[in-house]
Amino acid sequence: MKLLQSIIVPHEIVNDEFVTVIQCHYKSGDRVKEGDALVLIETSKMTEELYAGCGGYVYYRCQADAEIKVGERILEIYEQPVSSASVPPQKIPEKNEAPSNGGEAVFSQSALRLIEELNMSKDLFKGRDLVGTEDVRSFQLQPGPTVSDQLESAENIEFQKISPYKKREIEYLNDVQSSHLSNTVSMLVEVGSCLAELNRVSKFFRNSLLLIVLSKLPSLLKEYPELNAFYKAGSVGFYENTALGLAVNFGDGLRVLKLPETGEKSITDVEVLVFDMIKRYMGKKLTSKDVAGVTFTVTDLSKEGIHFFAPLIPKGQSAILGISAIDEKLQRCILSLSFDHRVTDGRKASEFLRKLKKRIEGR
Amino acid sequence: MKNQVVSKNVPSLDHDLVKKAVLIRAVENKLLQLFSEGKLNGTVHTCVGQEFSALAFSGQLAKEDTVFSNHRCHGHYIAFTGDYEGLLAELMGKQSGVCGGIGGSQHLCKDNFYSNGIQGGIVPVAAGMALANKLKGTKRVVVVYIGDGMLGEGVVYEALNIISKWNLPILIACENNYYAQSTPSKINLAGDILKRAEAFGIKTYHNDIWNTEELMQAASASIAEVREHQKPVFHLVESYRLNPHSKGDDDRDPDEINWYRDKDPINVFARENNPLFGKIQAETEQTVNVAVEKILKEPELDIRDYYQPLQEVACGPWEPLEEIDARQVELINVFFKEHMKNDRSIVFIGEDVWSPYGGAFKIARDLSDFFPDRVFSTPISEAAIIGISNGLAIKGFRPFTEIMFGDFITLGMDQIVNHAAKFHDMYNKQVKCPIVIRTPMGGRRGYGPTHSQTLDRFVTGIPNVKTIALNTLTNPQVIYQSIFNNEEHPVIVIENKLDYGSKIAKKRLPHYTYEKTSGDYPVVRIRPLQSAPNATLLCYGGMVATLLDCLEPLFINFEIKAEVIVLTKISPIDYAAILESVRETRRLYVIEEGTMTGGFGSEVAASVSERLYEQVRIKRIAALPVAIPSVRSLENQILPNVERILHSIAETL
Repeated sequence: MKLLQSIIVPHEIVNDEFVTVIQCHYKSGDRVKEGDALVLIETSKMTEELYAGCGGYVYYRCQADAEIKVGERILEIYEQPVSSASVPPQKIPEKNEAPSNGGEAVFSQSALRLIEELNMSKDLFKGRDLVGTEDVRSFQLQPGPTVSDQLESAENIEFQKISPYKKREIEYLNDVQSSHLSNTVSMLVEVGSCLAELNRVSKFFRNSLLLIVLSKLPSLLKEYPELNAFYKAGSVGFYENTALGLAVNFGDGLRVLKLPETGEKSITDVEVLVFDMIKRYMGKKLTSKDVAGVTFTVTDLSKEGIHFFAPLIPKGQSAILGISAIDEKLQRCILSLSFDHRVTDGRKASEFLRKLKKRIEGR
Repeated sequence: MKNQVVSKNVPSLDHDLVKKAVLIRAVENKLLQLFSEGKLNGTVHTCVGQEFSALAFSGQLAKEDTVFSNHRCHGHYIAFTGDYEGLLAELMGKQSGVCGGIGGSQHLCKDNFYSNGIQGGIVPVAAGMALANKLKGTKRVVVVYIGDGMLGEGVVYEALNIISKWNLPILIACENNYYAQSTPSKINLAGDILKRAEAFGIKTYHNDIWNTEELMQAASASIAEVREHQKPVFHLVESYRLNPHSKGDDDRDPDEINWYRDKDPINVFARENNPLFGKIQAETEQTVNVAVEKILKEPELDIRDYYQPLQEVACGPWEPLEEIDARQVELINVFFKEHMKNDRSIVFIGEDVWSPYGGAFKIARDLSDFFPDRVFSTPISEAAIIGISNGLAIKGFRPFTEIMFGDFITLGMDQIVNHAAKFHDMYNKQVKCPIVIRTPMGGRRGYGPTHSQTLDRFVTGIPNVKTIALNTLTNPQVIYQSIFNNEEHPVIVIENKLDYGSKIAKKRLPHYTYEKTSGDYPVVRIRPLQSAPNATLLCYGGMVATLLDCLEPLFINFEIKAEVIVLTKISPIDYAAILESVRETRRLYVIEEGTMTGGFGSEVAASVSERLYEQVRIKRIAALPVAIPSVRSLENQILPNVERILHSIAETL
């Protein structure tokens, strides 16, 4: 049985450990050609097709709606048609689990009995020190995705499991926010002087400060490297380059699109860049290169009429700028900067915001 | 006896000398009178009849010399210090007394004069003082007064042996007045007094008070000999006390007493020099009466000037426990090597400590090579060893005294309780005795009943004595440094035989944090990394290893999430850390290697109950109350082991 190609789950997105299989386009044993799209997978940021690198008979090692770990084999292409009986089982490399007692909790005998009774897994207590029956009971009562059958049988409640995508979105947003050390400062920007000009040159992003913000940010971020960084395990990682991302949601979930260099470009030029990006997104033509490597995100809710919000900081970043709707009567709008207090502080954030405001206001 | 009484040349005695003798007698008689009037505290042991013995030795010393006397010390005191007023005030209980009224008749201290009412124990202490003089290179003399009765105490012979072997510059003045309290010495005293001293190779001299001039000269010569040759002398003085042992307890033959009264040198002088003597007598009595009248009006010591309750130390901040890759025995040994180099007051005393042996547990390895003049390897004489250390300590040295096995501390209990622990208080804070006694306790080596005990109960709770216990979680150097820096009073350090070979804080349980307080005597706390503890386990010293072995099975079998607290200072105990823990857990188990009744656990249980309003479940787990067997299988069941500890705790759940 000659194996022609094996495809492993690509590690496209730095922080993803798992991807979700959306759809297998063939069945195991089907004949495929080089270049055929074989399986659609979904990462935390986007969907991606995996293509056959040669012709042959496909054998899937995955299923639709299932999660599969990055680095594992997702499918193989053989010279001959294959069945499960004839295919060698995948040797999953044993992860070198050092029996570090630091990770293994000690369970009391009563706790072990209770865990078995309740059909729970010992893994739920990973990282704990001593687990007794009280600890098991109090874990039981915690609300969460692994909630026990007890709650599922309650009336008037219908549970829908969250999609793997949503799970990853939670993980993506939980990272910085879970430290409870993020904060938001906001500032009123007088738009009287610039709004007319903005609306004159812009086709698709009228009545919003988005384009002018995108043009002013890159150079300003160079002066504030701590807002172009991220916190990790007691250290701060400073990105060498700046890559702005625009958060968008066109009904199918939150995405952050990486924009090409927008620094000091004209409004018209920036609009073209943004518009192109969105068009490619809508046409599902984005690659992982288009979403990876964002160092600073901008999110614009002005179209939604939101006058103030405190955006959540994405994983791998230390700040995010939120643009609210313009108050037409007062000719101003609020810019909000959420920042990670482990990396920077309110003074710096305020200073940054003040400078941005001045540059937008043309001063 | 009566044949020796010749009374030659007494009538022509020096008048000043007679005046001094008359003063002593007048004071003694006045004290007897005051006693009858109910104006004295306690009883008096008068030396009437023996005044010249006091004057012969005490009265012929330089003021930098030292006198150590016994219960019958008034004459010795007045002869040495001249302070009859202080003596009167002391017995009358006044603040202006020699020791503020605290010591009373038998416990005097002033200007190099000391006395203690315990028979025998004064001799090694005096020997220690003589050793101090020798180490300092002064040509000072120590005189210790003993009596025929004191020759019954074993420690006297321990001391004589060492005094002779070490050539200590001490004069043992033995006053033989033929009676030990109510018992004639011929009933209880075997053999010959002088031959006792001679058997130890000590030079002896023999006089009596009735040949007074000869006595004075012979005594002077003895003092000079000790001073010049720096060798001991035993000087026997025959005498007779004309009054009862204390007050009213005289069953002696009245004829005998009268015979000696007739021959008494003062009485002989009085007969032969009547008008002069009458004048001396009258003047002296007047002086004494005036003093007494003045003293009667004086105040007594306020309790606040005598006793202040100890302030308990607050629980210091917790810091991580560090591992030390060196064995306990090495760390202690290095401590001594470094400190003896830098501080000449440190003296290391113990049995078999000389190189190459270095002591039974090798704590003293090489020390005598480096410091031959300050390391003393003693005979097997625990009482004398501690007594000599006491004397050294009072005279400014820092003795670190090793008692080979903790079981042997019983042999030195008198020196600890009635001497070391008492000096500072009973002498009204005039002296300090910073002795440090180190001794290993604990079993599990199969040494059997008298070499395996944990006798903390006998050396804890002694006022003015601190008791410290080393363990394998803290650096012994830190402990000894704290003792060296801070302690001015006796300290007993309980070490552990099995712990000597252990490194510090090496093995760690994975789910527990190890912390200690940052104070002088760190408290160690071992608690679960995240879970809240629901029981407090308390111990000290050698029990640590067994207790830590209990932690995991305690949890797995009984869901006890225990927090272990290990004390270093076990007397007096600072309760802050214990209370902090017990307030949370509400369960306290004290695990000790000693037996239960009246032990460490009892003290903790009582103190914690007293201090907490909250209800707490307390249990002590201790050795079973029977001699510790040599056979390992039984020893392991007598001493607390993991199984018994688990069961004992389970019973309370």
